[in-house]
Amino acid sequence: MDGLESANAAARIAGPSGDFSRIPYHLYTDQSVFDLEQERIFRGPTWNYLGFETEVGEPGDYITGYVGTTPYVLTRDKDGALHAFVNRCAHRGVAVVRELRGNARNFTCIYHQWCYALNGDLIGVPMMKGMRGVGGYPEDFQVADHGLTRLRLATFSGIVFGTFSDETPPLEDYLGPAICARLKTVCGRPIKVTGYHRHTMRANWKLFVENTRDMYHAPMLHPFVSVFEIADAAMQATMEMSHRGGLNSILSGYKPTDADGGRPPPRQGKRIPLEEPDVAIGVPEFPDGLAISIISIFPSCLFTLPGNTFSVRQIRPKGVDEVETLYTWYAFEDDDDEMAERRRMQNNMFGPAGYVAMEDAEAMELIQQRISDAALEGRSLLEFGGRGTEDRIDHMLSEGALRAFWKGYCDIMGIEPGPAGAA
Amino acid sequence: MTDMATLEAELRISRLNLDYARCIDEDRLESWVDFFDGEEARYLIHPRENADAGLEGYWMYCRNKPMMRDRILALRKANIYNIHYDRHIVGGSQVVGVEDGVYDVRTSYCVIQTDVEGRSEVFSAGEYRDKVVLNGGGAKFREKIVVPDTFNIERPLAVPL
Ligand SMILES: [Fe+2]
Repeated sequence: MDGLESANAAARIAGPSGDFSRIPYHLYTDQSVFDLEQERIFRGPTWNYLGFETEVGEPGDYITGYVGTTPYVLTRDKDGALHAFVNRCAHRGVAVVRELRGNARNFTCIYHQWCYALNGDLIGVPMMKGMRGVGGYPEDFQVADHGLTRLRLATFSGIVFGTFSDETPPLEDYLGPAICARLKTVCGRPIKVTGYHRHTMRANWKLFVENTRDMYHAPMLHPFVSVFEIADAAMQATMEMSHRGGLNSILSGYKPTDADGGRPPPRQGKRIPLEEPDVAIGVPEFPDGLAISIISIFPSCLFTLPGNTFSVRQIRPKGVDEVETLYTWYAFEDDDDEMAERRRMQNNMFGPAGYVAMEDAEAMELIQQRISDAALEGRSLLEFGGRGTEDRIDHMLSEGALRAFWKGYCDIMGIEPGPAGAA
Repeated sequence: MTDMATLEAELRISRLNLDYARCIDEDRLESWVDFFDGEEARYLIHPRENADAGLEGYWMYCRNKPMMRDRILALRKANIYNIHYDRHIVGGSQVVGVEDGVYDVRTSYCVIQTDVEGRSEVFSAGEYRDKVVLNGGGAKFREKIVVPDTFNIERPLAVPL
């Protein structure tokens, strides 16, 4: 699509209400919306999480992933520099790299043996001049013209981000000061990757993005915390939104420490004890009693810390009604055995079998099943905690972060919101 | 040639896995822990991607029987997941080693899940890597590591595999 076509496509999409309290279902189900998202969001002015520097620690190391639906390879060359390129041969569109990750000197496409360097440059084409005077490429064929499409990279605190656009603001401006500070906390020491989880959900990717910043649902959809003796009534929660009105968000939960007058949570008679409560109860590890941290970096990642266990999820839309999440679990390199075991136990909280996560997949799929008819004239209702948007919310009783997300979404997509107010 | 004693052990361990699978399929999950030997028995689900790469990344990590009981308690009292039936298809068990009376065993499994409207699909296919003890008439798991080939899972993983 060129600029005008794409603006026309955006103009044809009916937007949310002006106060972002009404979200039409077609935004989750319409193929033309999905296609425009690939262009305006994932190949647009956004920084997308590609992986950790440590995952490509040695020269020749590579990992693969997706920015939206676009497959990429992240590599480290023999001089130690990082590169990322689209995993699609410049000749016939073949996936050049077929393994999920590994170490290579260069990459050769299986189909006609075109060979690419670790930075994505084309370095070899068999029989370029033909054989015995016949065939081969025309005189003006230049290998330099046929490298793989490159992404521009930036790193922060050991995390590699990539963008397809020249207009994307500098990474630290894009993340904002609150997220930069928090990433320095949760990735502040050398890390090691401890494993990957892949979970595919039959739901639009934005239902997942909304879920990651929905404070209202946590105690409702995830009874684990309230049923067992692990909830901390004294927990203080804050949600901060940034970038284009709220595309990025950061949820923080603080447990008061004894030093500033904290008290143990009140025992509630109906709660059941777990035999191994360490699965859910973290030990203080960070300043200010930080016990929960959920960082959503639009459009493609989510850094989570409940208690003492860390992961980042890459959000991979597969179609209007399917999204895959790749969890990368990590720990600090200098963890002692006790902390390593604590993190390992707490991994039970998230992932496809997560004590406080499995419900999310079920809820999102139940939505998608019911709204999948794109002609359906209906909408989601987001009025909890008011209408319109705020930059900061200091309690859990609001869908304000979802409204802020939709404000930013309309801005980056070029979709005009409708009239404000309850309709 | 496999000797008769090993064949007999394999038969008993195959029966153990059949009983184990039926217990899950019949939703008798409170009895699930009884297939394990002692409070220190372990139950792990270790997706193949991580198992092959030497990474941890367990989907479920129960380092002892108390954690297994907690898993079932949570499933009954708290967790919400898709309404479904599970159907295990379990292959014959093969002993690949024995040390101090503990058998190292491999068994293929497949779990087909059927949803609330009766549609079935493969939910998980993979291998059980078990440590089994045979005492008198009984066979129990000292350790059960489920290694799903299906390391990209669809739907919640609520019920043990
Ligand atoms: Fe949730």
